[in-house]
Order: sequence, then C-alpha cells, then structure tokens
Amino acid sequence: MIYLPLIGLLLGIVAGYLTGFEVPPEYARYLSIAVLAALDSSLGGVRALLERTFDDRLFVTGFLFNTALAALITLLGDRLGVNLFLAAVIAFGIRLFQNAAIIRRLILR
Amino acid sequence: MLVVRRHYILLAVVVFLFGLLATLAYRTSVGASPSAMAGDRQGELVGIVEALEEKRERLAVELQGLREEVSELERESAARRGLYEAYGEELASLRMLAGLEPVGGRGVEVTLADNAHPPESGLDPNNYIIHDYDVRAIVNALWAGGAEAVAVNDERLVQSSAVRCVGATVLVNSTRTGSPFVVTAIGDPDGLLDSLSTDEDARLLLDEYAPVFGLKAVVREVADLRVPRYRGSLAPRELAVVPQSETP
Repeated sequence: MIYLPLIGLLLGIVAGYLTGFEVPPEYARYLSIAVLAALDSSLGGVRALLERTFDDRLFVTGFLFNTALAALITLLGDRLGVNLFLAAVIAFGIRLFQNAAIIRRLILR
Repeated sequence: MLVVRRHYILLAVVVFLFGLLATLAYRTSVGASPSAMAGDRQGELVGIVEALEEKRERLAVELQGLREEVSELERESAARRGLYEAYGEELASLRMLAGLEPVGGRGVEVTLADNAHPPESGLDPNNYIIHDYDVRAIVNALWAGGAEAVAVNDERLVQSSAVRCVGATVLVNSTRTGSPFVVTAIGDPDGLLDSLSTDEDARLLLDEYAPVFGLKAVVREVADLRVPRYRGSLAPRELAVVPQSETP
C-alpha cells in the first residue's frame, strides 16, 4: 500500500515518455507551475499521512485550487507583461521546503 | 484501513500527475532551447536573422550582377571614347587643313603697296598701283612653292576663296580690302622664296615693275608666322558626296 505513490510516480514518468507530447514554449511557464503544484501537493500529502491528518477533500481541493490559482496568476502576469508567475513559484517553493523539513523530522523522530 | 488506502490512492494520483508533468517539462526543455522563457523571442530573432541572411545572399548576387554590368559599360565607354578621340583628332586635322583653325609656323610674308607719291599727269596711273592680278600672282606663286596656308590681309584663303577686283578695291573672301596688301604664307621658306623668284608673273612684279613704278614689294622670311582662320561661311548648297565607285 505504501508503494502506491511510487508506482504512480513511475507510471507518470512512463506515461510522459509514451505520450510523445511536447508542450509549446509559450506554455512552458504554465507547465513549470503545474509541476511545482503537483510536487507541493505530493509532499503535503506525505506530510499529512505521516501526521495522520490526511483529509481527502482538503487534499484534492488544495491541489486543484492551488494549481488553478497559480495558473491564473501566471496568465495575469502574461497579460500584464510582468513575471507574476514567480510569485507562485516562490510560494510553492517555500511550502515545498517547509513540508520537506517537517517530513524529515517526522521520519527521524 | 480503507480510508487510509484511499489516501494513498489520491496521493498516488497526484504523484502520477507530478511524474507526468515533470517528464513533459523535461522533454520540452531538452527538445527546445535551454531557456524556455526566452524560447519564443529567441525563435523570432532566429527567424529574423535567417531572413536577413537570405536577403543578404540575394543582394550579394544582385550586386555581383550589377558590378559586371558596370564594368561592361565601362569597357564599352572606353572603346567609344577611343573612337571619339580618333574622330576628334581627324576632325581637328581636317579643320586645320580646311582653314577653320588659326595656324602658325615658318613662312614668308610679302608686302605690296601702291606708289606713295601720285604719278605726274600724262602717265597711266594704273601702273603705279597694286592690282588684284598682282596679288593673285603672288598667291599663286606661293601655292606653287608649297604653301600650306595663305592669307591676304588676314583673310584666310580657303577652297572657295578668290582675289578679284571690285571697283577701286580688291575683294578677298567677300571682304573689301586695299593697299597695302600683306600676303602671309606658311610653308617651307626656301621653296616659297624659290617659287617667288621663278614664277614669271611674280618675278616680273617683284623684280621689274616694282622698282620701275615705285611700288612697295617686300619679301620677308618669318620664323613664326600666324595665319588666322577663315571667318566666312562654308555651308554647301549643291555639294553632295558621290560614292567612290561612281567617280571615274
């Protein structure tokens, strides 16, 4: 059961290779945002599992809402000619490191 | 346990999405330019550069063609210039011979003048003045002696010139003139002087009539004589060139 996420990761990588789909350069920013959002949610999920506070609805809505918000900010930035997507990148990045640190402590404890 | 299992499934789904997206991002960054952000702009610039290079190639070919055209025209122009120069030289030579250019050179100057003192009554006054035929005798002797250009009182003698008598004056090239007459001739002075002393009419005038009737007749050799150009009109009205084969 604990291997399910790892299997999912492998399946994702394989699927990514098999699709042969290349994202156009102008959507590279959206892709990076989506990657970060997925990674953030993944680590957040792991942390919640370890803390035994995992909530299905919170997890799914958090992932979808954060991704949508990040995409929206990026879109707004594109329209304004400002790199607003960096805000999403930084926010995800900080949460990523925080979650990673908490996971590390939970495992080591 | 079922609830926990569902947690894992949800997490696996998100992780699956992460793996999928990360792989796509990786493939995109490998396939495209290193900096995905600048990808669009860079592609645009590359397109511009390629278009400009293509244009430059085209212009270089065009320039090469134009250069060849220019050098071709230059060669043509040089050839034509050579022809013009040859024509120009020939024209200048012919104009000089036709009397349309002032000329200079070695020659002889003959000055003729009436007797300064009127003759006594009873004698024929015609004997004491210079007549048109006297001038003609000198001119003819000079032509015969090899003169290349002759003028009478600065009237250049050309192919249509005549020296004739009109009343009390002498007409040269339709210009009235009178005593004293200065006949200038460019040519070998020895030949001219020799002709003046051997031509019968000239010899009579210079050596016999002049001393007897007190006419002025001075023959002078000049090292640098000037003969002016013909000032009249040469426009022919009836002349037409006949091809060589029709001439006898």
